[in-house]
Formats: sequence, C-alpha cells, structure tokens
Amino acid sequence: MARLYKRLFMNQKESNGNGNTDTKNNYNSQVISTDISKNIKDLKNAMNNSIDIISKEIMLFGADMLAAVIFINNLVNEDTINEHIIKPITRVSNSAANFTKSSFDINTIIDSVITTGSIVVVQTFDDIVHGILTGDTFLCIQGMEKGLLINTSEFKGRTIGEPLLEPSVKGPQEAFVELLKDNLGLIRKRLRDPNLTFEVHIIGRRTKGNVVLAYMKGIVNEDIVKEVRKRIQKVDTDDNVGSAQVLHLLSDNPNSVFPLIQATERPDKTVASLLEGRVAIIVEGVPRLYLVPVTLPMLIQSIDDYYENWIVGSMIRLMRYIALFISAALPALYIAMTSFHPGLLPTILALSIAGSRTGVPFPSVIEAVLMVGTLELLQEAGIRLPRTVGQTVSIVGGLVIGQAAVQAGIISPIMVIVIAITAIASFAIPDYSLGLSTRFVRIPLMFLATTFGAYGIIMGILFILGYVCSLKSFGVRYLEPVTPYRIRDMKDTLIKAPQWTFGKRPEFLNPEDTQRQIIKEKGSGSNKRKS
Amino acid sequence: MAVIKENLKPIQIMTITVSTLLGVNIFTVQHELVVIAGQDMWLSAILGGLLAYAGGLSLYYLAKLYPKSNLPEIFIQLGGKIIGRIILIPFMVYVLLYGGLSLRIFTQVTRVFLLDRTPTYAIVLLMCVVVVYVVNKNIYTISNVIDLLFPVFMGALVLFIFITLRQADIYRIEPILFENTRGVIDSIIPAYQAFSGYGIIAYILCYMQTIKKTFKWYTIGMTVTTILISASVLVTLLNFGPDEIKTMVYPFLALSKTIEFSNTLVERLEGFMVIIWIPVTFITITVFTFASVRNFVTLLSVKPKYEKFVVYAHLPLLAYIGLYSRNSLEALKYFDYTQVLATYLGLIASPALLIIALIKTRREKHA
Amino acid sequence: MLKKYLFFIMMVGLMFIFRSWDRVDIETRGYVLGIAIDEYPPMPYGQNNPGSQEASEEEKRKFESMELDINRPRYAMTIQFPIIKKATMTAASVGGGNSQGSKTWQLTQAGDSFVDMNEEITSRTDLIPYYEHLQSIIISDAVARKGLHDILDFFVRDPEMRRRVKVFISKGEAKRILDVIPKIEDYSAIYLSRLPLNAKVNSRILHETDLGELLISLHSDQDFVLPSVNATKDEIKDCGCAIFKNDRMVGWGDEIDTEVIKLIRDKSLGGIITATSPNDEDGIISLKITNVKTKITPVPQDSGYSFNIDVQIKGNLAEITNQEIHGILTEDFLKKSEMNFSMAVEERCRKVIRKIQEEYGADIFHLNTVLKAEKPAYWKRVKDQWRDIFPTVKTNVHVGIMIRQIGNSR
Repeated sequence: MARLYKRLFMNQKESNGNGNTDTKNNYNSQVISTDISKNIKDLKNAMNNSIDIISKEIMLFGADMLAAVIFINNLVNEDTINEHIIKPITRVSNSAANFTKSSFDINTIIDSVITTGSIVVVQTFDDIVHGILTGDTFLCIQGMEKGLLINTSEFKGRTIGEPLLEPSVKGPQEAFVELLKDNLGLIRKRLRDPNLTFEVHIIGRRTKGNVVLAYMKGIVNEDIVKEVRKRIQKVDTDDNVGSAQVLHLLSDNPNSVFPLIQATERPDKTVASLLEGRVAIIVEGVPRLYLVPVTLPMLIQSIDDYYENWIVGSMIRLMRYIALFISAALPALYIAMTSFHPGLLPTILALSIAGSRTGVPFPSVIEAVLMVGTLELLQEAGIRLPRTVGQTVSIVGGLVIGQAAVQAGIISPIMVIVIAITAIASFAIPDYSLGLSTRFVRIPLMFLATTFGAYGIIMGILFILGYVCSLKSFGVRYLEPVTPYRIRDMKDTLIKAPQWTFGKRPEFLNPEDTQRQIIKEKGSGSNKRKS
Repeated sequence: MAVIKENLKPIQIMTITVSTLLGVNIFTVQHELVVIAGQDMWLSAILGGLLAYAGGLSLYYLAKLYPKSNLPEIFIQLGGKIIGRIILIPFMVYVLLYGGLSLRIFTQVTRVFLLDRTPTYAIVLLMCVVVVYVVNKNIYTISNVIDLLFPVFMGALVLFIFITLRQADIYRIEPILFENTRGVIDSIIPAYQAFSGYGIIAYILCYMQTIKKTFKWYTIGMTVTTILISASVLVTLLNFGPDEIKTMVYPFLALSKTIEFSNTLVERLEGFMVIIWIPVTFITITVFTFASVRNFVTLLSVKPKYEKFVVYAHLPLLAYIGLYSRNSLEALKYFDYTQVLATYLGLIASPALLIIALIKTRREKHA
Repeated sequence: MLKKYLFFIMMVGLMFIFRSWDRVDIETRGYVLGIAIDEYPPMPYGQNNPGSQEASEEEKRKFESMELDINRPRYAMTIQFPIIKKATMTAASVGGGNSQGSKTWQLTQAGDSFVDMNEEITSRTDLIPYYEHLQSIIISDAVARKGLHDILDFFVRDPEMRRRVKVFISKGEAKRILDVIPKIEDYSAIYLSRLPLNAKVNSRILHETDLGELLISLHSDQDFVLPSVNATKDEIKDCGCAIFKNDRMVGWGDEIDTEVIKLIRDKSLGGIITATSPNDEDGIISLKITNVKTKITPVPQDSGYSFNIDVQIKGNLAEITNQEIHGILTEDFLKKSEMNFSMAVEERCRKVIRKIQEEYGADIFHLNTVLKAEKPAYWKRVKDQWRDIFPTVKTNVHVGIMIRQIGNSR
C-alpha cells in the first residue's frame, strides 16, 4: 500500500504541467512497414508473444496480395471477425469482377468491403497495440503503408443483476455491472434526451481504462464539469483498479472522514441526479458510479422515498437523520448519562440501571469500549462471510455473545441494548461510506465523554459540525441546502414534500435550466418537461 | 476553485445576531436587574433591548458607509493609520475581554451544574481548542454552524419558556410599575449591557452580497433577541418572585431545575438546558474571537498568509483571560467592568464615529 | 504536512493528559432518596418499628455522634439509601420484591451542620451520598417549631439539590416515616413524594409545597403551610398541614382546614364536597369538584380593607346517600343541592378563617399578596404591621356552585 502511494505521489511530481495521460511507450513513432510478416512479428514481439494473440494471413487475388489480421482472442467476437472482415475481403478479392488489384486500397476497403462498425486508419505501432489491446482487430495489407483497426470487441462480464448495497422495495432491481457499454446503456435507456453527454477519458498508464463523464448539457453548471475534467486529466497513475485511487485523487479532501463523492449502483438514482445537475463518473471495471457534487442530505436520501407516499417517506427520512445521530453518539451518551450525570435520568430508571450494573467488574467506560470494539469486529467479519451465512452469523452471533456476556456478569444488559440500537441505527444509513464515517466518529465522542461527560459530547459535536461545515465537494458546501437556509431546496432534505412542489431544480447546484416540471392540474400527476 | 461565489445571505445576519447576543448574559441578567428594578425588571429588559437596537443602528450605518470593510478597517479609513489604531484599541480590549470572561462565567456555570470536580483549566482548554479550530475556518463555516444550531436552541428555548409558564403566578409581578419608575430607569443601562455584542453587524456586513435586505433582517434579529431575553426575565420573575431571585446566582438555570414531568422519560428537563446553553455560549465566544482576530489582523497589519497564527495565538490568550479571576464573584466583577467599557464604546464612541464618518463622506462627495 | 497535523496531535495529546475527575460509576453512588431531620437525640423508637432495631440504643447513640467535638449536637439527620442490589426492575431475579423486607437502608447521623453530617456519613458507608435524586425531606415538628431558617441553607446552596424536593412536617419523630416499608412501592421516600400527586382528586392534600415554594415564602416574608404526615408500620398518611408564621411552626391544621386553605388560595385541583341532601335531613349529597376558581377582591372600609372572597366551583354530582329508590333527579333538586353545597362550603370557610385568625394570626391565605397587587399604596403603609392587622381583617365569603353532570343514573 505504501509502495503504491509512493508511486502515486512520485508520478504526480514527474508529470508535466497539464498532466496529460500520454502513454510513454517505447514505440511511439514506429510505423508499420509494408511487409506483412515483419509487421506480424513486430506486433507479436511488442506483446511478448503472449499466447492469446492470434494472427491470420489471408490470400487475396489469388495469392497475389497478402493480408493479415491480428487480434486477441479473449477480447473479440470471433464470429464478427469471420463474418464481417475475413469473408468480405476474400469474397471481394475472389470475384475479381468488382475490384482489380490496383484499385484495391484502403478507402475502398473501408467504404465497400468491411461490413461492420467503427474503422480507424492507423499507422503507428502505439495506436495499433492500444487498439488490439482494447479488442479491435488489426488488418494490414501487403504493400499498404496504413492499416485498419476495426472494432470487434466483446468483453465478457456479468449480466445485469440486483443491486447489492442499495436494495429498494419498490424500485427497479437493476444495478450497474463492470462492463462500460452495459452501464452506459442502462443510463441511456432511461434518459432519452439528446443532451445527455458521455465524455470519455483514458486514465491509468498501464491499465488504460476508460473513464466516462456523464452529464446533461444545458442543465449542469459548466464549472462543475470543467472541474471534474481537470481533475481526471490530472490523474497519472499506473492503474485505476478498484478506483479507490481515482476517488482519492478526485475528491476535494482525501483526508476527509466523510465521503465527498457518492457511489451508487442504481441507474434510476443516477438518472435523477443527472437531471438535477450533477455529474456522473463511470469507471470501467467498477460496478459503481460516482456522482459529484455530493452533500450530506443527498447521502441520506434513499431512492425508496420517491416511490412511496410523501408523508410516510418524510417520516422515514426524519428517522434516518435520528439514526445518524444515534449511531454516532449513543455509546458516548450512555457513558455520560450513567457515569457523569445520573441526575438527569428519572429516579426509577437510574436505580434500575444501577441495579443491573451491580457485580459488573468493569467501569462503564471499559464496558462501552469493549462492546464497541466487539461490534466493529462482528461487522467486519460479517462482510467476509459468504452471503448466505453472513447475515445470520453476525446478528445471531452478536446476540448470543451479548447474552452470554451478560450471564457471565461481564457486561450489563443495558450496555447490550445500547450497542444493539447503535448497530441497527448504523445500518439504517443508506450510504455505506457515511455509515463508516459515523462508526469512526463514535470513538472520539466516546473519549470526550469519558473525560468530560455531556459537556465533552456537546463539544465534540460542535467540533464535528465545524469540520463538516467546512467540507466542500466540487465547490458545493457539504451541508447545502440545510445551511445557508435555502427554503426552496429544503423540500427534499429533512422531509420529502409532495411531488407537485418539485417545480424547480435545487438551486445550490446552480443549474443553468431551473425549471423542472410544470403541472397543469394539481394532483393530476402529469409531468411536462420544459426543454 | 470556488465553483459558486460565496457570500453570506441576509437571513444569516439574523441568526448570527441572535446567537451572539444570547451569551452568558441570559444567566446573569436576572440577578443584576432585580436588585435595581425589582419586579419590574422585565420592563427594563425590553427598554434595554430597544436602547441596544438604537446603538446597533449607529454601527450599522457606519458599516453601510464603507460596505467592503469590516469595523477595524473602517477605523483605519476614518482616522488614518495611527489615530485609527488608537481608536481600535479600546474596541479590541473590549472584544477580547468579553470573550475571555464569558468563557470564565460559562465555565463556572458548567462546573456547578454538570461537572463538579473537573478543574477549570480543563473545561476552559477544551472550549478554547474547539473555538480556535472553528475560527480557523472562514466566516462562512462559522455562519453555517450557527445556521445549524439556531433552530435547535431556539426551539428548545421557546419550549422551555412555555413549559415554565405553567407554573407562573401573575401575582409575583404585580403591581406593575408602582412607584418604581426610578428603579426601571436606573436599570436601563444594565439591561442594555446585557445585549452586548450587537456590534457584530459591523464585522459581517462586508461579506454580504448586497446591502438590500440586511436592515430588515438586522431589525428582526434584534427584536427576537429582545423578546427572548425579556421573556426569560419575565418567566423567572413569574416563577420565583423578586425576593427569591435576589438570593440566586444563576436564576435562569435554577428555573430549569424546577421543571418536572413526573414518571415520564423526560422527568428532568434540565438536561435540555444543556443543549441550549453550551452551543449558545460557544457561538458567542466563537464570534467574538473571530472579531478579535480581525481586530488583531488590522492592528498589526498581518498578511493573509500568517493570519492563522493570529488565530492560534488566541488559544493561550483566551485561556489566560478565562483563568485569571480567582473565583466566580471576581469574574462577575470584571465582567461588569467590561460591560461598562462596552457602554461607553457603544453609546458614546460609536455614534460619534458615525457622525465623523458622515461628515467625512459628505466632504469627500463635495470635494 | 506535519504542521497541519500538529494541531490534531496537540488536541489528542491534551485529551489523554486529562483524567476524568467526575466519572463515578452509576452503581457506586449513594443515592439519597429521603432525609429526615429530627432533634437530637431522636425520640425513642416506637413500638411499631421493630424491624429497624438492629443495635441497642446506646450503641446507636455512640455511632451517631462519634467524633464530634461540639458539645451537644442539635440535629439528627437520617438518610435513606436504596439497596442497589435489590433495585432492578426484573421480577425474575428478585422474585416477589417486598416479601424480602426493606429495600432501603436508613442511616442516622447527629451533628450541627449538615455538610458536616454529610461528611461523617461517608465514614460509615462506602458510597458517597448523591443528592440529585432526593425525593422528600421530612422535618419533625419539634425542629419546625424552632424555626426552619437555620436548617435550610445546605439544601439551597448545594448545586445537587433540586428545588422540587418535597418538604413534609411529621407529627412526632421524622425518622419513622422513612422506616415505613410500603406495600406497593419500593421506597418510602418515593411513596411519600408521590402522595401529593393525588391532589387531583383529593382537595385535602397540599400539593405545591416543594423546597422552591418554601424558599420563596421564606424570602418574601410570607406565612405558609407545609403538609404534615404521620405513619404506621407500612402506611403513610398525609393528614392536613402545619402552619408557619415567619419561619416557625405555630400549629397544626386538620384536613378540613387544608381544604379551605386551598380553596381560598385558588390552588384546589379537585376534591369532594359533602352537604345535607335537600330531600332528606339525614342524607348526604357529594359533589366531585372538577374546576375551582377563586377571586379575592379588597373592598375599602373606613379603616383599611375587607376582602370579598368569591369561589366558583364546578362539579359533578357524585353520590346521593339515603335516597328513595324511586327518587328522580329533578332540576329543582339540583338547584336545592347547589344551594346546600354552597352554604356548607361557606360555613366551613368562615369557620376556618376565623380559627386561623384567632388562634394563629398567620396570613396563610396570602391576602397580603392580593392587597399588594391591587392596593399598593395602602400596602406600602401597612406592610410592617400586617401581622397585627391580619387577625382583625374582615372577610366575606361567597361560594357559587354549578353542577355539571350527574353521573350514570337518575
């Protein structure tokens, strides 16, 4: 990990000012020769004669002219190559009626012979190798100085399945997969607007993966897009596997405890965000999209709020805010209430808690620290267990361990309840990263509570507030639109107002087109988009 | 890289004003006023608020004349480099002392009600650390924090006042204003002193985008503060009566201890006071520290790069002022002196400066 | 880079320098639920408290006044600790609860200053007394007659004390009130503090008499009343009030007196009024009070003022005894009942007011407050002589009754 970071930082210093992602390969300017066999040999050497590089020579015009195709067999659809490249060429050349040898050149091939998709004329080894590695087929003909790269790629990947981290009760059950084409398709089919723009960049010196920026031109604020573009182009690493590094390099403050980029695996959420004026970053190979800019209220919204009645949805959303607070502060509150200020509890409750704690050897601080530690262990373990077993073991395990510990007299039953509620509250937070943040924040709050009691907790909360209020995600403050008060935008934060009030887009994203919907009659449910 | 240009919204003037003014005063003002005005002290609280508003207007118009400068910069522009700094010094002293002594009084209150044995320096240091941390971020962060805390403590305060009205006894404040006019008039100045901090408007007006709605929101802010402080005074009177308050050190907090809903989970509502008074005092100290930092930066002409050292320097400064007094009565005494200084600055110096500024701008216009 | 983190490091370091000074685990505090203040020596234990005698009289005396260098201590303070082991709410582990005996432990300590006594107690138990959950203070009438002012400072100054602690005066020894083992509650102090809540249905119980009210009356030089209690082995009875003039107790008021006092002070929350039935000389009709409003107006006389006390009572007809089975409720009957009720109440009020004026001369009806509010000029003149004027003041009681509902049967 440290080596990786060293490489990241070292590379960043070495890259030139505008941080281009030009690959520095050795054969930058080498061009292909007119001799086919030399070409084939050179290309295969360039890729170290790996076993999956296939080359095939074709005889044209009765062994007068040689042609060759080179491809990597696990990246292409071989049927396409046969049907659309090899067969047409041989057919054309065999029926000499159509072409003569002299008139058989690159342009005719492109125009009349190859019957499939995108074709690029190439000359340098650099482009050719890159093309072959992305699933294109290289076609070169004896005697011609240029060759053709024909797109025949077919990557194998998962079929579109259910979302794992963001399940929804009523919404669609489609989630993004690792293949870029499928992901773009999932968005495109929901947003059939010509203004939906997909902009591609290549990052990763060795992985050369595609990163696509998606945004709605005409809605999104151009400054945000420019900023995203700038940051992506600054990325100069060897790879973007897992894209944790991409996150690290894209986010405003990589040391921030709270997530400054939102990851989602749901296309419907992506489409809604794009329509509000946000930008989606799609990294090839990762079944998750990154939405920027992000604010804390956005992280607490769940897609189910929009599929339910607004009153019920608002109540549940409010409960999530409470869950956020409980998850962070409840163990600390327990310590403060029992050890520092039992006077704030009702008398009978205080005596009852005191009674249940007799015989427990640890002070309540140690108890709380132990239990929080155990909880974290259980949660980590639950991730790694196989899915069928994981849920049961972590929950049942927790309960059983808790019960056994109580009966052994190590911890008090009140502590078990507190920890159980804390754990459940942390699961109620829709965004996984945000849940992790609250789990992290628990610990300093507990330390403050052990020294200063309720005063320490409040000071800790004020400190966290100061920290959170200073976070910015791509120029948008983390706590918009709650602060500064934007009354119009509040309809979608603490509560969710009925759909007919959503006339304008949220203004804190400064969109260029603010009108979202026009309702002809209230409650008729008819939406018209103003273009 | 700022995608969206930042500035304060007019409504934030109200939240900042209310939160800054509701500092430790809300705990000590009842006792101060009752010895002078007796059972009519709620009237003096209202009058004191009006006087504070009048004083605030002079600073508001002064700040409006120089819309892009905060108060210390205005002084420099008015009086030149040397005289401007001389004018600045008493204001600086007041701001710093007020912040530090508020901290001290707050620490006393916390020790009495929450933490008995924790030494004062620990409480003071923790508060200083958090204050300096937040002040180190810019004013927009501070105002965002205030915006977040504002509905919380306002709601709690209003709820609290309504709950205590249940036990009110109107006879405790009657007869109203019987032969006590002299007492009420004598107590207007101490009541005015309870509204210290209205001058913050001169420090934040320069961050506004337009001056357009600021007057309205400033007025609303001062009105809300006056209503709240008068309500707190009234409610303590109605519950305890003037003779009892004379024997109390912190009447408002004692009031919180009298709320009891039997047999429910929130049997003791005094815990809710914690939610009110700690953030309120924190905001007061933070805003005053911010103002003090601005003062120092202008006085010593510190370059923006080194501003954060001035902020860090406030940590030992605040802590020292906070720990200086020997006991709580001494701290209250120094607090009184600071309030007297504030009276002179607010009622004499500020209008004078406003008049000088008006003359100066008129002269410049004609020239 | 390091400079940015210096701040955090400093903060974290500071946090670890601080130990926690105030942290005391919840089960290691000695919650004091009730305090009883007696004269020293506490009166001999009554025959109805055999359970609390664990040591002989002499030994107990020695224990209680050990290590004191003042000649003869003035007060004996008894505090009640709950026994934490038995305090859980789960019935399973405790099993039955009360049959096991007392859940509390009473400790008596003699001394002069309450803070001193507090400290002495810590030499006898391993729990530091914690007063935030104090529910009731019981003062014996012997101490009360000497004056309350001396003993109350501790309870006011200590920040742990709450102003909502209820204060009672006991007939005789205060300690035996705490020794009661109630049958339906765990702790006698809590049982006692909940009794005044019944003022909703019983107008003979004083309910607004906590420490705060007591202090307000003391500081504003008012006469006041405190509820009085008496106890048997397992029962506590709130039986009327104790009347205080200045800060000394001057006498008892019985339950009827208490009822009238509450009526006149406009503090009545409920209760029952009985009167003779209009149909039948022997019968009794009862009215359940739902709403009472009292208005006192001073009326100028040649020398001074007299007071018109106007009480408006709304209630439901609760019971008619000795009624013919076929009797039917008519409007006439209701009107006559209302008249009977009001006459009965007026008569009672007059009697009580006369009694208080003549026997005690303490203005527990707070007529001075009304005078001060309505006629401040006159009040200013007579303020200092009010205690002498009060016994001669004339009052005029008028009671209006309105029967709202008559229950389920005609």
